[in-house]
Amino acid sequence: MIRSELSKDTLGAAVVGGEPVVPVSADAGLANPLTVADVEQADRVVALIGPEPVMAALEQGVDGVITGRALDIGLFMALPMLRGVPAAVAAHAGKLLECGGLALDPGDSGRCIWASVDETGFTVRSPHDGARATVRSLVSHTFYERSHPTWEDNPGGALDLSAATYVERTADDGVVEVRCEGAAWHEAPYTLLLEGARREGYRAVSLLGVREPALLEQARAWTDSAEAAVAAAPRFADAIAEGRLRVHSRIFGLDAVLGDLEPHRSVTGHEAGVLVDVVADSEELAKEAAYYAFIRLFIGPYPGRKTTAGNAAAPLMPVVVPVADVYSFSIYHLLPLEDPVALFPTTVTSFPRGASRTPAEEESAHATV
Amino acid sequence: MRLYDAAAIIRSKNAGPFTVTVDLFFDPERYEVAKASTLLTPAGVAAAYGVDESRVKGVWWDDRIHAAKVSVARWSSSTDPYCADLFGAHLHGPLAAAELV
Repeated sequence: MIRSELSKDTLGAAVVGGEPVVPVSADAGLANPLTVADVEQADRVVALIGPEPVMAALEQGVDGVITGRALDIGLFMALPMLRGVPAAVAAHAGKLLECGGLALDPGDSGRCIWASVDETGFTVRSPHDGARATVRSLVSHTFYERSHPTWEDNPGGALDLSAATYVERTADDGVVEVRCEGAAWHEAPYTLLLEGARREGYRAVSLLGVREPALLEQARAWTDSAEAAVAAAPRFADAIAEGRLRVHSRIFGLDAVLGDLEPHRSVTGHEAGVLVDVVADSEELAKEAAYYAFIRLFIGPYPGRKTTAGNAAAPLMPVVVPVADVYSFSIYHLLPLEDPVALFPTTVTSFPRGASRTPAEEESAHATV
Repeated sequence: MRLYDAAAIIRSKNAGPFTVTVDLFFDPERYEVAKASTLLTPAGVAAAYGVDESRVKGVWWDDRIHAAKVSVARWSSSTDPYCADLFGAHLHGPLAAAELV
């Protein structure tokens, strides 16, 4: 097992003593460079480990490796690279295999995929009767969840698929397969992607359904007035002024998905949903403010109201639902590393565990370098 | 014709938390129309989303599979507790609704 969470001590030392830890994208509004204060404010920070710690674990002769957060393609690169396959081929294969059967036609990530990897490339097959590997299915998968179709920065280098080739062929056993070659790997200083989350508060929500025509016409004004009522309540004044309480109404049926980009400025359907979404520094405050907003929405007057016993349908009881702590992505930075393995040692555990021994006794840590 | 009608598959998804990427797959004849359009250029994409052109990371084409990729820096992301689309799976709307000219 390889843990990839970094302690604040380890990360703090790297921030202070090492090269600058800079954000992946300069335009994301993140700290540049990362400071000890940013590290302290984060609840947890993980690193996307590369293939090297997994290779080190496999070299110990283990049957399997369980990792924390890791580079998706790195998990697939480790074994081929351990057997001498170049990084370019291993990374290219990893990119196509990382989501399993999603790279087949039809795509289904719940299914497996099969590849044979060698020094010059790899060959992909579908292990399922109902799916095929095709040039289109494989190339389209290289696009998946990546900002650039043929270039990807990775720890220690960039994968370049601009000259990659994909050839469909029928093998001697009659199976149609795709041969993939031509990937390049451009060496670069070794950096690991860090992901850190900072607690922003606690979320509580309430849901209301609206299909009253007079109210649908003025849905936004109605939620604005409920939010204003919360803001005007003396019990919430300090929390709002200090930034410890935020109330936001999402109107599904109006602009809940696109926000300011939504071209429709009024509800056009016969019903809409209002999600009262409160983020506060405590669960109690979040629930109290959400309930206050719900009551205003449910019984508050609005121009032209006929339905004076209740303004909307309430599908949930209790009407306020506590959700969870809310986190933001506060760290998305690159950590320069001399040694890709040292921070991520392997712990070897044997199964089944002996009944007479404690878990602590079962686990014996072995540094891998 | 709107891009929504021209494309066979429209795949919107986060590429990391701060970028959204929209993969577009076409039939061969529609692909040529799309590739010649002004909508699917950095300037056209910026106009469709109402963002500065510097926020468009690129528009790429792959003739082998009749596909395009459009990547844009996210205007709201998981740094914001009120982000409406954390996976970025539904951010194709303004681009898809635009005329493919």
